[in-house]
Amino acid sequence: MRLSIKLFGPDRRAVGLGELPVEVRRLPITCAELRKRIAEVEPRLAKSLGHARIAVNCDFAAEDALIQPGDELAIIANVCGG
Amino acid sequence: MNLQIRIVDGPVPPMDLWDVPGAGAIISFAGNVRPTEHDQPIHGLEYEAYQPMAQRQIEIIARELIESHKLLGMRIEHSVGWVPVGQCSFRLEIAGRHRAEALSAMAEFIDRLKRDVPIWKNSK
Repeated sequence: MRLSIKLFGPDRRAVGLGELPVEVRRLPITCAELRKRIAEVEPRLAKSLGHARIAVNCDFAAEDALIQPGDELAIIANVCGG
Repeated sequence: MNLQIRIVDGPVPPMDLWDVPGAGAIISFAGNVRPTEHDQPIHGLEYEAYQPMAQRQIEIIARELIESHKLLGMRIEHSVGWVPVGQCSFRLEIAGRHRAEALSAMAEFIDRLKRDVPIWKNSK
Protein backbone atom coordinates (compact mmCIF):
# COMPACT_ATOMS: atom_id res chain seq x y z
CA MET A 1 0.00 0.00 0.00
CA ARG A 2 1.19 3.50 -0.72
CA LEU A 3 1.05 6.20 1.94
CA SER A 4 1.64 9.86 1.26
CA ILE A 5 3.52 11.82 3.94
CA LYS A 6 3.27 15.62 3.94
CA LEU A 7 6.56 17.46 4.35
CA PHE A 8 7.08 21.05 5.38
CA GLY A 9 9.82 23.58 6.04
CA PRO A 10 13.38 22.24 6.15
CA ASP A 11 12.20 18.67 5.46
CA ARG A 12 10.36 19.73 2.30
CA ARG A 13 13.36 21.69 1.10
CA ALA A 14 15.79 18.85 1.90
CA VAL A 15 13.81 16.33 -0.15
CA GLY A 16 12.36 18.68 -2.77
CA LEU A 17 8.87 17.25 -2.33
CA GLY A 18 5.76 18.41 -0.51
CA GLU A 19 4.51 14.84 -0.25
CA LEU A 20 6.68 11.78 0.11
CA PRO A 21 5.27 8.47 -1.19
CA VAL A 22 6.03 5.54 1.12
CA GLU A 23 5.17 1.94 0.33
CA VAL A 24 4.20 -0.29 3.25
CA ARG A 25 3.35 -4.00 3.22
CA ARG A 26 0.32 -3.75 5.46
CA LEU A 27 -1.93 -1.49 7.48
CA PRO A 28 -2.42 -0.70 10.24
CA ILE A 29 1.12 0.06 11.32
CA THR A 30 2.26 2.10 14.28
CA CYS A 31 3.76 5.57 14.03
CA ALA A 32 7.05 4.10 15.23
CA GLU A 33 7.00 1.64 12.32
CA LEU A 34 6.16 4.43 9.91
CA ARG A 35 9.02 6.56 11.23
CA LYS A 36 11.43 3.67 10.60
CA ARG A 37 10.02 3.08 7.11
CA ILE A 38 10.32 6.75 6.14
CA ALA A 39 13.99 6.75 7.19
CA GLU A 40 14.57 3.73 4.92
CA VAL A 41 12.80 5.34 1.96
CA GLU A 42 14.32 8.80 2.37
CA PRO A 43 17.65 8.80 4.27
CA ARG A 44 17.83 12.61 3.99
CA LEU A 45 15.06 12.72 6.58
CA ALA A 46 16.79 10.39 9.03
CA LYS A 47 18.25 13.18 11.15
CA SER A 48 15.01 15.13 11.26
CA LEU A 49 13.06 11.99 12.13
CA GLY A 50 15.14 11.65 15.27
CA HIS A 51 13.21 14.49 16.86
CA ALA A 52 10.21 14.99 14.55
CA ARG A 53 6.65 14.23 15.56
CA ILE A 54 4.20 12.37 13.35
CA ALA A 55 0.84 14.02 12.79
CA VAL A 56 -2.17 11.87 12.00
CA ASN A 57 -5.28 13.70 10.82
CA CYS A 58 -3.93 17.05 12.09
CA ASP A 59 -3.14 15.82 15.62
CA PHE A 60 0.20 14.77 17.08
CA ALA A 61 0.21 10.99 17.41
CA ALA A 62 1.87 8.74 19.97
CA GLU A 63 4.48 6.28 18.78
CA ASP A 64 2.12 3.34 19.37
CA ALA A 65 -0.82 4.98 17.60
CA LEU A 66 -2.11 2.96 14.65
CA ILE A 67 -2.19 4.35 11.14
CA GLN A 68 -5.27 3.35 9.19
CA PRO A 69 -6.04 3.55 5.46
CA GLY A 70 -7.03 7.08 4.50
CA ASP A 71 -5.30 8.80 7.40
CA GLU A 72 -3.68 12.16 6.59
CA LEU A 73 -0.02 11.93 7.61
CA ALA A 74 2.67 14.56 8.12
CA ILE A 75 6.12 14.94 9.61
CA ILE A 76 6.28 17.89 11.97
CA ALA A 77 9.79 19.05 12.88
CA ASN A 78 11.51 22.29 13.78
CA VAL A 79 8.38 24.42 13.93
CA CYS A 80 9.12 28.10 14.48
CA GLY A 81 5.98 30.19 14.28
CA GLY A 82 5.50 33.56 15.86
CA MET B 1 -16.58 31.87 23.83
CA ASN B 2 -14.99 34.90 22.21
CA LEU B 3 -12.31 33.22 20.09
CA GLN B 4 -11.12 34.39 16.68
CA ILE B 5 -8.32 32.74 14.69
CA ARG B 6 -7.10 33.99 11.34
CA ILE B 7 -4.24 32.81 9.16
CA VAL B 8 -3.56 35.62 6.70
CA ASP B 9 -1.56 35.79 3.50
CA GLY B 10 1.24 38.35 4.00
CA PRO B 11 1.67 40.74 6.93
CA VAL B 12 -0.92 40.81 9.69
CA PRO B 13 -2.99 43.99 9.17
CA PRO B 14 -3.12 46.78 11.77
CA MET B 15 -5.14 46.10 14.88
CA ASP B 16 -8.76 47.16 15.03
CA LEU B 17 -10.75 47.95 18.15
CA TRP B 18 -11.86 44.89 20.09
CA ASP B 19 -14.69 45.45 22.50
CA VAL B 20 -15.06 42.67 25.05
CA PRO B 21 -17.82 43.23 27.61
CA GLY B 22 -16.60 42.76 31.17
CA ALA B 23 -12.91 42.86 30.31
CA GLY B 24 -10.70 44.76 32.73
CA ALA B 25 -7.62 43.91 30.72
CA ILE B 26 -7.15 43.55 26.99
CA ILE B 27 -3.50 42.94 26.20
CA SER B 28 -1.85 42.48 22.84
CA PHE B 29 1.43 41.12 21.55
CA ALA B 30 2.78 41.81 18.08
CA GLY B 31 5.58 39.72 16.63
CA ASN B 32 7.44 41.70 13.98
CA VAL B 33 10.08 40.48 11.54
CA ARG B 34 13.55 41.49 12.74
CA PRO B 35 16.11 42.94 10.29
CA THR B 36 18.66 40.22 11.03
CA GLU B 37 18.66 36.46 11.40
CA HIS B 38 21.70 34.84 13.03
CA ASP B 39 23.43 38.25 12.81
CA GLN B 40 22.94 38.38 9.02
CA PRO B 41 20.77 41.08 7.39
CA ILE B 42 17.58 39.78 5.77
CA HIS B 43 14.79 41.22 3.63
CA GLY B 44 12.01 39.32 5.33
CA LEU B 45 10.62 35.92 6.23
CA GLU B 46 8.68 33.43 4.14
CA TYR B 47 6.17 31.67 6.38
CA GLU B 48 4.82 28.22 5.61
CA ALA B 49 2.06 26.45 7.51
CA TYR B 50 0.32 23.11 7.52
CA GLN B 51 -2.81 25.18 7.59
CA PRO B 52 -5.57 22.83 8.75
CA MET B 53 -3.37 21.51 11.54
CA ALA B 54 -2.07 24.97 12.48
CA GLN B 55 -5.65 26.25 12.75
CA ARG B 56 -6.63 23.20 14.80
CA GLN B 57 -3.64 23.35 17.16
CA ILE B 58 -4.06 27.09 17.72
CA GLU B 59 -7.69 26.48 18.60
CA ILE B 60 -6.82 23.66 21.01
CA ILE B 61 -4.25 25.82 22.81
CA ALA B 62 -6.56 28.84 22.91
CA ARG B 63 -9.53 26.89 24.25
CA GLU B 64 -7.39 25.25 26.95
CA LEU B 65 -5.99 28.60 28.08
CA ILE B 66 -9.36 30.36 28.01
CA GLU B 67 -10.68 27.59 30.24
CA SER B 68 -7.71 27.28 32.59
CA HIS B 69 -7.18 31.04 33.02
CA LYS B 70 -10.88 31.92 32.96
CA LEU B 71 -10.34 34.39 30.14
CA LEU B 72 -13.04 36.33 28.33
CA GLY B 73 -11.60 35.96 24.87
CA MET B 74 -8.66 35.57 22.56
CA ARG B 75 -7.82 36.77 19.05
CA ILE B 76 -4.95 35.23 17.12
CA GLU B 77 -3.63 36.20 13.70
CA HIS B 78 -0.62 34.59 12.01
CA SER B 79 0.92 35.13 8.60
CA VAL B 80 1.72 32.72 5.83
CA GLY B 81 3.71 33.77 2.80
CA TRP B 82 6.08 36.70 2.57
CA VAL B 83 6.44 39.21 5.41
CA PRO B 84 9.04 41.99 4.95
CA VAL B 85 11.30 43.21 7.73
CA GLY B 86 9.48 45.42 10.21
CA GLN B 87 6.04 44.03 9.41
CA CYS B 88 3.87 42.06 11.81
CA SER B 89 3.64 38.31 11.31
CA PHE B 90 1.84 37.33 14.50
CA ARG B 91 -0.60 39.10 16.79
CA LEU B 92 -2.17 37.78 19.94
CA GLU B 93 -4.82 39.63 21.91
CA ILE B 94 -6.18 38.37 25.18
CA ALA B 95 -9.11 39.70 27.16
CA GLY B 96 -9.51 38.93 30.84
CA ARG B 97 -11.30 40.32 33.84
CA HIS B 98 -7.91 41.16 35.39
CA ARG B 99 -4.42 41.63 34.01
CA ALA B 100 -2.74 38.77 35.87
CA GLU B 101 -4.52 35.93 34.13
CA ALA B 102 -4.23 37.63 30.73
CA LEU B 103 -0.47 38.19 31.07
CA SER B 104 0.10 34.65 32.30
CA ALA B 105 -1.90 33.19 29.43
CA MET B 106 0.00 35.28 26.89
CA ALA B 107 3.40 33.88 27.85
CA GLU B 108 2.03 30.34 27.88
CA PHE B 109 0.31 30.72 24.51
CA ILE B 110 3.47 31.97 22.79
CA ASP B 111 5.56 29.16 24.28
CA ARG B 112 3.08 26.58 23.05
CA LEU B 113 2.74 28.21 19.64
CA LYS B 114 6.47 27.90 19.12
CA ARG B 115 6.43 24.26 20.21
CA ASP B 116 3.17 22.80 18.88
CA VAL B 117 1.84 24.79 15.93
CA PRO B 118 3.08 23.63 12.51
CA ILE B 119 4.37 26.90 11.10
CA TRP B 120 7.84 27.39 9.65
CA LYS B 121 9.77 30.42 8.52
CA ASN B 122 12.62 30.81 6.08
CA SER B 123 14.66 34.01 5.94
CA LYS B 124 15.54 35.64 2.62
